[in-house]
Amino acid sequence: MTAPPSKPPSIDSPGMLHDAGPPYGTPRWIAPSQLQSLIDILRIENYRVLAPTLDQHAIVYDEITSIGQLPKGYSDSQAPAVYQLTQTPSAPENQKLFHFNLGPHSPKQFLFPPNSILPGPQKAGPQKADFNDADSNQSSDSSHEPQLVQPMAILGLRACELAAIAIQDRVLMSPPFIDSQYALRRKSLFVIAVQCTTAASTCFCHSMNTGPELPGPELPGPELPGPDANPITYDLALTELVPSNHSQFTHGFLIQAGSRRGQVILDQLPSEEPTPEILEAKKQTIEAVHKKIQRAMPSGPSNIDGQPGDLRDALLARLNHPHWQNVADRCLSCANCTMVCPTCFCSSVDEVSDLLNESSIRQRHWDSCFNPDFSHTSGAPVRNTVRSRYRQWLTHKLATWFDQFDSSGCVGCGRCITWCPVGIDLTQEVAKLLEPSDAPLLNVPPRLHHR
Amino acid sequence: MEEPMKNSCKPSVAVVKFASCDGCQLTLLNCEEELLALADRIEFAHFAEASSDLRPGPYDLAIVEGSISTPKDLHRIVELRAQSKKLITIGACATAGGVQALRNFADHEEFKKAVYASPEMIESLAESSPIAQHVQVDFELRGCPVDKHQLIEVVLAMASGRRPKTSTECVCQPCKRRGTVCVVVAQKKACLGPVTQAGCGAICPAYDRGCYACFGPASQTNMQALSEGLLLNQMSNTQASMYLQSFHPASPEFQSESRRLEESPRRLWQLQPPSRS
Repeated sequence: MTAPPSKPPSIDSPGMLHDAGPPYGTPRWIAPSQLQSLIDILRIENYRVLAPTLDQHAIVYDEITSIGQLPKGYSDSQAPAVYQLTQTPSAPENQKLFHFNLGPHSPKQFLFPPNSILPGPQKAGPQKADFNDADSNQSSDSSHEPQLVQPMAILGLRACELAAIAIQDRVLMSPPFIDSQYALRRKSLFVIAVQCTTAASTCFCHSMNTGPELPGPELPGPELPGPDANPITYDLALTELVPSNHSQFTHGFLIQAGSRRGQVILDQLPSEEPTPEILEAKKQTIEAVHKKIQRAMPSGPSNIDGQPGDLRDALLARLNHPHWQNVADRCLSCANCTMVCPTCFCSSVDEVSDLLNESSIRQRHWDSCFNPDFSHTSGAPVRNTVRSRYRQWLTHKLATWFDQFDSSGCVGCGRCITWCPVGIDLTQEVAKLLEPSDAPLLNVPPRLHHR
Repeated sequence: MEEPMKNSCKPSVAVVKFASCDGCQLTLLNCEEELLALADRIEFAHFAEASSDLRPGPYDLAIVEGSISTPKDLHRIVELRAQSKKLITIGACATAGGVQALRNFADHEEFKKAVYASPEMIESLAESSPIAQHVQVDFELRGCPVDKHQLIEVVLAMASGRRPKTSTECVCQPCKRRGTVCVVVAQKKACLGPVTQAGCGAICPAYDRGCYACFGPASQTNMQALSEGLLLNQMSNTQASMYLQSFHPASPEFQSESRRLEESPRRLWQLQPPSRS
């Protein structure tokens, strides 16, 4: 995927983001107004620029053309079943464009849209019935090819969201099973990550090893094995800094490239070399965020040598724990947790015919393991109780995901905690499930390794 | 339906009304652009809302709106069933008794006296009941009113002899799919979406209000968790009980939970929603 050395760097470099080694990753310092230039350059390059905006009493990603659409001076307060938009009261924080936490929407909204049309069978002439799908090379019918999508640039993705994209990449783009629709969107995605400078009470990324610090050339992200291993998943990374009492600098952004095409764009922006004071301010900001994160995913019970145990093994040994019923008594099985989860990928496909039964389209929509019909097999749902559905979701996310995809399915973003309408807290439920009970521990099969 | 209706001769359809507001029939007329294509596939033999040309039965398909509310209704529905190969019900009245089923929990005679000057002139039953309580129903379509896309799907499925595709998930899923931010979490509003069957397209939360359950209970509901974990953070027991009775008061799930709420005096109206952290 690396361009030949003779070829000059081009923004049109196809494919994934990373090209190892310098000169990428040298941090530069830009004024806030340069973000507008960045948006303008991306738009000229035909990118649809998506960024956090105020909408529906929350901060959600939407298309923007101007930095005036960013939620300047806004923040949020989050707790189980509570999301409250707030205005940052005092300077200098109220100058910040990114002084808030994750909203309900994740990049999944755009890379794996809630509703989409898949290539499907088309009515052909009497000689030819064509059932090839888009992944098949035999199809010569251009209507079966995935539709071209306008390339997207998402501004404002956080460390845990990069980890979530990496997980969805493995689920949806690992050969030989490649979701052509996802791959098309993913390969055209330009990522401008933003360093978290605050944290919500629901955040627990540090205990999932996905944040809060953005990965960088000097700090590789969580090791994700496999042919698509890709520790740095951004093109550009921003850290927003505001001066404290005695600072010599004014409000601005540290900016760093994580890819060749990111560097090409960065080189077009007027920038300065950051002073040691600015680099120190970044360090202190990240330390402060670390301290702000109070919640953590429990690890499994300690091993005999005092090391934390494997959460996968601990959960799978406790499939008969009485606490599963305790959660089921509170859980609405409404699927909100799976809808806001940035890694949940379940979907269903319907064939929908037109009114005259002459043609049909193949529609895909997000589905959920909390929907009783999702496990409908041979006449009845396999998981017909809330207990069995919650247990399936949690043990898949935190345990059997390792067997299937060699990583946890949870990135610690805390969305399932904030957006559960009855405030069920994943981290607390896991802690309860690890408490001793009368149910005997089950034997756990060893972890499968696919790669 | 085991066999498709004959294609050479279009299936004849009767749209018949019982105790109802006509809103569901109007949904059929509101199909507008789809109506011509629909008329290509079926023949409306009896549809008083659309035409005064009312032909007698038998019909291939009867589409029934409204609940059984008078002694006369009891005879009409049996007669219609006898004349119809297939019979489907549309809307909250026909499938669950409708808003008028609120009288099922009160003194019917007292109601008549309070409302009418000459109550002896009124011939009505003490209870408003769904069609399926009286005759065999081939498919029940929910909603108050029904959703136009679901209605077309059901009618075409019946005409083609296949099972209609209507969702059994709860409203939260289409709500999140259309990108609506949860009104419970972001706006502290009460919402019945988590226990309500989808099909409407999750309209209400998209306009900043909670779901009123006009499509009735979802296939599986955890009513007590909804009251304790959500409704009672926003309202009193009495208010929560009334909220559950608005569109489907006679649905067993909503009925038993609203009774339980009225009988348990534990929690009173809280002006300040409690902190749920």
